[in-house]
Amino acid sequence: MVTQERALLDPRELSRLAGLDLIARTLVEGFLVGLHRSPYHGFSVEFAEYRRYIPGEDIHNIDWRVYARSDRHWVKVFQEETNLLARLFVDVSASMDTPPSTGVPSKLHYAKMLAAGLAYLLSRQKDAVGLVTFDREALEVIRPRSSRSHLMHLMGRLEHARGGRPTRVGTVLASMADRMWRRGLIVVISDLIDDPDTVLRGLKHFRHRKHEVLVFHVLDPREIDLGFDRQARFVDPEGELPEVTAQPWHLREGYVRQVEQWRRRLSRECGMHRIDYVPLSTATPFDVALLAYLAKRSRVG
Amino acid sequence: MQFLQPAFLLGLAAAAIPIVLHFLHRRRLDRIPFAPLRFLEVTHQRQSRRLRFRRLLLLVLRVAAVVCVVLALARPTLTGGLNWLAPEGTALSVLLMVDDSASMRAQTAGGTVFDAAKAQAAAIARGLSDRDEVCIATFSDHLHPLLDDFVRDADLVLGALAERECGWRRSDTITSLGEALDWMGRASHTRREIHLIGDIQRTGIDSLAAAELALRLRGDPDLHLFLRRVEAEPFVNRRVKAVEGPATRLRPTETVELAVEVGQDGDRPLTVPLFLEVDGSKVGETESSLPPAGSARHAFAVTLPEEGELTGVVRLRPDRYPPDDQRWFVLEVTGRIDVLVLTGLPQSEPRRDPLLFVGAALDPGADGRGDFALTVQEAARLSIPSLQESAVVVALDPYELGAARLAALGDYLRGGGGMLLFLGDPRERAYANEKLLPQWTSARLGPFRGGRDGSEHLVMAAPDHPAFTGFGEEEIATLQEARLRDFYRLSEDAGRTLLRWTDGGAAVEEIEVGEGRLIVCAFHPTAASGDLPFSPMFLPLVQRLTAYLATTTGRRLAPMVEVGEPLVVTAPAGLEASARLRLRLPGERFQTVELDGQALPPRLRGGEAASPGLYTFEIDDRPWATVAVNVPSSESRRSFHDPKELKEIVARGGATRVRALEGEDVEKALERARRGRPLHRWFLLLAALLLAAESLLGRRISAGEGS
Repeated sequence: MVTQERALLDPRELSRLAGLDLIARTLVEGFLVGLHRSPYHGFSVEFAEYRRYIPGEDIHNIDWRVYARSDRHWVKVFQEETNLLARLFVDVSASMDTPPSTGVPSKLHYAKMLAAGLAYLLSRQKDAVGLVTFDREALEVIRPRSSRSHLMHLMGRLEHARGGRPTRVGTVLASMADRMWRRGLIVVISDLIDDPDTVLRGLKHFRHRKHEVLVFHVLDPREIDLGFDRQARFVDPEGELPEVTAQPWHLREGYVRQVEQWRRRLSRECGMHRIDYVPLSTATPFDVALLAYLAKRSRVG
Repeated sequence: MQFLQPAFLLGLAAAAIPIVLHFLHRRRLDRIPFAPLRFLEVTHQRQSRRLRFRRLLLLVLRVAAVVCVVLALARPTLTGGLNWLAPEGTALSVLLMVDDSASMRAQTAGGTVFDAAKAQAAAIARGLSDRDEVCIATFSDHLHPLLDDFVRDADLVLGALAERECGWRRSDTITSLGEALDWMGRASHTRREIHLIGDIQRTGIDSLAAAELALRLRGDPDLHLFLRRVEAEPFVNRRVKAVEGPATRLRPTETVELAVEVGQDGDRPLTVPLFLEVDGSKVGETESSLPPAGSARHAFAVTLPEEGELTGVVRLRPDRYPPDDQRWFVLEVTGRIDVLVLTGLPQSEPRRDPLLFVGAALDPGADGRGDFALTVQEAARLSIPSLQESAVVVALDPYELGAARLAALGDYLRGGGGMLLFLGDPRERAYANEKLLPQWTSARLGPFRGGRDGSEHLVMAAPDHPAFTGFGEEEIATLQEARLRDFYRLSEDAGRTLLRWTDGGAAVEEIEVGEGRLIVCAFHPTAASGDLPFSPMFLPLVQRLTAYLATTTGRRLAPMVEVGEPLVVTAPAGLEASARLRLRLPGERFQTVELDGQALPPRLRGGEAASPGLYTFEIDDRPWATVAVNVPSSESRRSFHDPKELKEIVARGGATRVRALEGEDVEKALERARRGRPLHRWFLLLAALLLAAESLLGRRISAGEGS
């Protein structure tokens, strides 16, 4: 049973499903089933909190059955009460749409699945969820809402989102931060292929606007370990850098060190500004990302 | 550096193959979009310089290997200042060797093959510079320099060459080349060349001499040997292969059969006229039908003269190789044969006296008018003059000869004399085995068989022996009926057994002693020993054996020889030192003759035969003996070595400075060959090293796959 539940969170398995809404539902339901049996039980979004009724509140919120049993007025607190505005920033640039390693989805597909799952989860919690797709600029901006129809609309837009142009993560984030004055949760799903300083500046911009920021840094496994075994011509999918003809095994050690430094720096600087930085590979099960979200969500309150 | 095969340099274009493959390989590489390219680029920039250098080195190694192989195929040679062996412009010492063996007399367009060889030699001599020195020599079985030393004047060479006519000797290329190497010791320049120009006839090469020559060539890196073949256009050669008279004694006025063998090497049957000339007159003619690549035998009947000899020649109509279309012959007429009979211990009874029976056999009429003139001496009193005057010795149990007489008899035999030796006296076995026979042979008498042990018949063991020519089955059967009671058996390891005893032991053996012959009979030809003396075949047996020894060891020793062999005949007994001796050569020319009085019997020596024909020894202007000289039979074999074959033979020791110059433009080939030292092996070695380095480097570059 556990294995089946894990399979539902495996990007390789999920990527076989058609339709982001189905993927999202499968992902979240599988995640939640697993979560009930996990040490994270206390964070359950299903937990309905009761508090004492404060006179003057709407009496519709009183749980009469509890009152019948205990003769006290308790109010059932629902998720939507938190009134969280979540905005999903999904990178759809050309670098995200490169051919994936064998058996795993592309970064773009992974990002879409993750974004769909998060949207579904947010929507299930009655949080308002919005979507921004971008490459070198914001391509589509969907304002946060919590309705079911909005979720379907968002899923549809997400499914067809495609950029194919170079990334400007930092610039896009900075410009969007200026436009989003209402505080909320900013979830960035990107490979962050851009100047790290610019990227961090953009993220910090959100923090400056008092947003909570959660960054999912998505890379293909071979982008992490350079796991190629043949000499090849490596080209920039965004067409900005000259091609490199190399025998990867000669460069692997230095390359891996570079990528680790890059990710460590992002992690360190994000941590310094209370930005949650979650490094992912497209082979990473989605529960890692969802747990990170939940942890963040719990802090946001 | 020069290239002997410059056409191969076009192959240098192949050097582009590794380059093209290099770029094609790059083009064939997978194109992978890779997002974090800048990290790859940073790392690549750090490592690419070393990698790029290695790849470039790999490409250079591949290109260099291809270039080396192509250059090796183009046969590079070292010249100019680089060639420490033969710097450009160094003066040469050149020996021109022109083949003048008989086979070079073959006719070709515009003359003989020898003429063509001379023309080539002249062209080489004319092509030399003023600083070069040159010598000219002809060769056949030996080298014959035409000048005393190397000269710088090519006209001297051309003059000597123009006067030279082709010889008649056989070819011996290896021996001549060895002598040429000796001759090159006179050269004054370091860089030396031998040019061998001839038909390079396939005459059988002494492998030991060839190996020695190859080693000598290998040990002399400054000596270059060039082989050039000149040849006639192919033609069908026909020849007189042999002319033979009867092997038996030829009596005066007797009519005998002259056997002639004629052959041809064509692949079609051929009919050719055949002529016999005797004493300058044509006396016989016939048609010879020759099978393809075969021969036919013919017989001419000739009548022998009263005395002396019958000389003549058998001719075919000349073809393009005339020397073997005629063959000279001599038939020696044997008159009375001087026989010296040596007796041994005296016998008490006439029936035990071998002289009685042998004397009767050689002089049946006892009147001294038969074919044999007998002189009887006791062996112990043998005189040298009587030995010199006899054509053959018949020794009947010779005993107590003494050391001097034994030595004289030995000299007589080794010098070409003949002796019929009867050993049957039981008292003399020890003397015969210990003193007599050891002088000449390893044959020994076995134990004496006396009458009490039973008798044995004689059995014919060599019916084809010339002494028994004409013996039919009836005669042989009659001879085999004779029985002997007292006899020896001879050991058989010394010669040819002519007659045996019934039990298989040897009774009569023929043994060659030096140039002479000894026939040992291991029995006593007496009535006391058996009934052989009373057999009708006793007289023919003794006479045939005596005549055989007299004719095969007679005064001409070898009446028919080949060009290049010595002309030697036996001098007449009592020849005075003051006698006028000379040798009449073909063409009415004369040559002095040397009397060798030390030989026993004395010899007349006329040097070596230089050309075919009849050579007559004259004493005081009267003919004494004639020798027929013919072209060496090996020169009639129209089979030749390819120059490359000869090169392989003489370069077997590793000598690389041997070149076979062939084709029409041999001058150009010579010019190329002169230009330097071959380097192609070095280039091949370098190519192999480059490929090995390429392999190592390639593995090293690829080693990261496993890491």
